[in-house]
Amino acid sequence: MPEFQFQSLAEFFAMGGYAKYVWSSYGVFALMIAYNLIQPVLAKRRIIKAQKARIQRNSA
Amino acid sequence: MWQWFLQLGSPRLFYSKTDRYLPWLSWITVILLGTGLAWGLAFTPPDYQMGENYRIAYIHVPMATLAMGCYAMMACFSAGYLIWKIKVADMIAKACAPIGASITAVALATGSLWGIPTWGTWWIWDARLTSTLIMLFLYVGIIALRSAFDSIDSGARACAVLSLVGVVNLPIIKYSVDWWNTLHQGASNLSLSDTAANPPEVWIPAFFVGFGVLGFFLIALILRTRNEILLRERRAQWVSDLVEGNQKESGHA
Amino acid sequence: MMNNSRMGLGSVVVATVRRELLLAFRSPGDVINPLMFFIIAVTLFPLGGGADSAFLSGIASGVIWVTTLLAIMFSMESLFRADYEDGSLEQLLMSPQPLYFLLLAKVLSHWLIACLPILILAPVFAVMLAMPVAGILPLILGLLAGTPILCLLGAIGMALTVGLSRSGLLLAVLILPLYIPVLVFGTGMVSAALDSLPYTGLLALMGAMLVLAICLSPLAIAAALRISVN
Repeated sequence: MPEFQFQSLAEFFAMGGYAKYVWSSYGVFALMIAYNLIQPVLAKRRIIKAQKARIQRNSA
Repeated sequence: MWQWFLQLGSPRLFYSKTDRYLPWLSWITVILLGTGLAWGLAFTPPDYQMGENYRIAYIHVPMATLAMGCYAMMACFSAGYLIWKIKVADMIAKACAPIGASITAVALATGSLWGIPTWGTWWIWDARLTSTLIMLFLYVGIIALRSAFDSIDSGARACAVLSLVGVVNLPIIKYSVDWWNTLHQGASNLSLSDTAANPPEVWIPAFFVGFGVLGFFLIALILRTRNEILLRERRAQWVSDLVEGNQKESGHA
Repeated sequence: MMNNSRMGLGSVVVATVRRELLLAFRSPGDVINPLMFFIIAVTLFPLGGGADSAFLSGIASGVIWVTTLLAIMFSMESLFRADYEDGSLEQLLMSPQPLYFLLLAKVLSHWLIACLPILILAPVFAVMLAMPVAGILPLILGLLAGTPILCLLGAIGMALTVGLSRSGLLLAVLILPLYIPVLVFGTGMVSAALDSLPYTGLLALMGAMLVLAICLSPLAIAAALRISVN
């Protein structure tokens, strides 16, 4: 069973002095994932809205 | 199997099928990515040479692999579109480009961040970094070409041709950059993946992250493709029904 | 045009090349502009970086290769643009002759018009950039094998963008990444020769790329032209 490799939580965040690099890497990664999930969701909302407007225009 | 594949070729069926798959895929991805990242970040022993810094590998390596895999996938779907005129294939190929570009950018960024403590500088003309940079250029070119066309059909076919040209060139580019690097860097080959004989506690979490990232890629791809379907099939009755359905639901809420 | 369909393949290629050359000499800008671009751009490097001969000899092969590559890229505009505008591109696509060879002939004539003058002047500028004599022959051999590849790849990019109104910079974004292997091996040949290493292997690689480009790129050019013309 793998065990927690750090003595304390503070040490975990310090990453043996490499905190800047490790955490900014994971930050960039998280941002990319967030962008690729949020962008399509927002785009879908926009498309549906435009469609609704079109349907209403056509029925009116 | 073949039947299932053919059904995905119809925009409407692609939409309704993925509706069913997406929740499952999302849960599997969350579990894989969550376990893999937590394991890699906190539960694997540090590297004896690079210390804790090597934990960047858990995202850098899958990103760099996926950057190339995504391009291959885009080329396959482009070929599918050119040969069989499957519209969904083009929509998937179109969705691949921005996702691939962002993945490549992350591979570059994490490579640089890894390089600062390892090489003492955030950029060196390392073969891997350089060919990843060129990969990003190829993605940017395809996105730029697509956006330059007014007609969806012409843009789709032009991008398909360009992706195929790119995929023929890619191994040559990769080989030339590797060769160029050995010429100019001499023997100082401080390779990133030079972690020989990795013990299982190192590569098992990498496995989890790898498949988790693949799952994320598929989700992002499906979401973008679905939007493209809604946009291009907007005159179809089923899209109108779908939109109306949404309207009713939101009306009740 | 009537007896065109009864002409042999060789004579069609010769006729196409002759026609293209004739057109080029009627509007000499197509010949002179790439050459002038090459000359002026090469001259900028000593002016910008300093005329120190040690520095210049270090960058000589790179400068000549990069400016040649850019000159070819900018010259691509003249390959299909005029034909597209006056409709002769459509005729070319509908011609009874195999399109594959017609396109090869067109690219060959473009190479003769735009690249050959640069090739002839390249050694002069190599000497002006203080390149050691041992580097001259591999430079020329590399250019001889490499510039046709650049023309073929550039023709793909041009065929893709000829239907668009503003295509200049888009073309650069599309094809410059594809030019990288030629640049790497071309400059590599010169460096190898200057280190007194054999460069024939690299020349063979360049030749292999040329064969691959001749085999495959007319197909891509044809597909791209069909998209742009329809």
